[in-house]
Amino acid sequence: MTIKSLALAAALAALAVPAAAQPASPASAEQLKMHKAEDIKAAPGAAVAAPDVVVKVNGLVCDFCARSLEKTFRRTGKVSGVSVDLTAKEVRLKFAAGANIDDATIRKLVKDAGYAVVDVRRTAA
Amino acid sequence: MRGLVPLVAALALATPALARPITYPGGSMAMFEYANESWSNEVMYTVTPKYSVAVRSDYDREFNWQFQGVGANYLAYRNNAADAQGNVYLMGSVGVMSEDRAAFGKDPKAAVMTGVEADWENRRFLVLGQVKGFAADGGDKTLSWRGRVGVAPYVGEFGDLHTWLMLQVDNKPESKDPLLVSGVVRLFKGPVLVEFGASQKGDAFASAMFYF
Repeated sequence: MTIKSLALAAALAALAVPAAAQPASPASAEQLKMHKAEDIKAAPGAAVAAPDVVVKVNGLVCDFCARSLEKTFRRTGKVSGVSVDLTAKEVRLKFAAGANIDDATIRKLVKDAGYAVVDVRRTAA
Repeated sequence: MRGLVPLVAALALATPALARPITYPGGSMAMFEYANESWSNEVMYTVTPKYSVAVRSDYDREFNWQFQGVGANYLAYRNNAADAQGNVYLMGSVGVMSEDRAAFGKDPKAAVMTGVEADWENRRFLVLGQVKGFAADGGDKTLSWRGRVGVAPYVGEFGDLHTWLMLQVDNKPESKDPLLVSGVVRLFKGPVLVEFGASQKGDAFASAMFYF
């Protein structure tokens, strides 16, 4: 009984390996222009260079929180990059060319994902 | 399509990990768990920030019953602090409970599952409690509870491998081993979370969750 259970645990751990081995290769600016925003496959947590918006968020305590917000913004199709900094408690957004998301929508997206917005800061163009 | 891979994997292994049963609107999770001679599987889809719908299957080897049901999870309370998050969830399913897994569906009875889960965590510590009960037409019922405390030996960033060391207490009053205290290791990276451990009696514990 115990041996079978341990075998299951080993199988589960093995399952985790392929998913864990994601390439850490953020796309270049040129590559980003060639893809729709939702198709961009930056590594989780990969920093967004020169973000357009920095959103300070409460409740960010784990990767699932970060991943939720990352997916939430990618699904809008209006961002070319999203990164989440768990230590700074920030979500950094880079809009796709010609796209924008207003502050109220950003606040709603974050709230609907289950988190609390402290501040939305637009960076200088 | 990619989302089907973890889903199929979870169902194939036929086994819920103890984690948040609601993600974000449009998000899904597949969870499975083996503990104290019981298996649980649950696949969830988050409909709104407060609700998810779920399909679940539970099997208790010791008492030889199984449950298949559909239900919903409700986020009753969430506190988002600067460095921590606390939640209270209500869970419920309606379905069928039957005896003898091999016969799959022998002597089926209408049944319900209800549960309450509360958690609090920051990036270093976590505390969690859960009470879960099943009741079938005819009076059969069972209740179990679980408590957990955990510590992360290091604080990782988004995308890192996260590790938690946890102490888990399971109480199932009618069991031959009503109180199990287990040491559990949680490994968490990307969309996959796995846990494994063992109790003071040598019983293995394993769970996994896929997030897609």
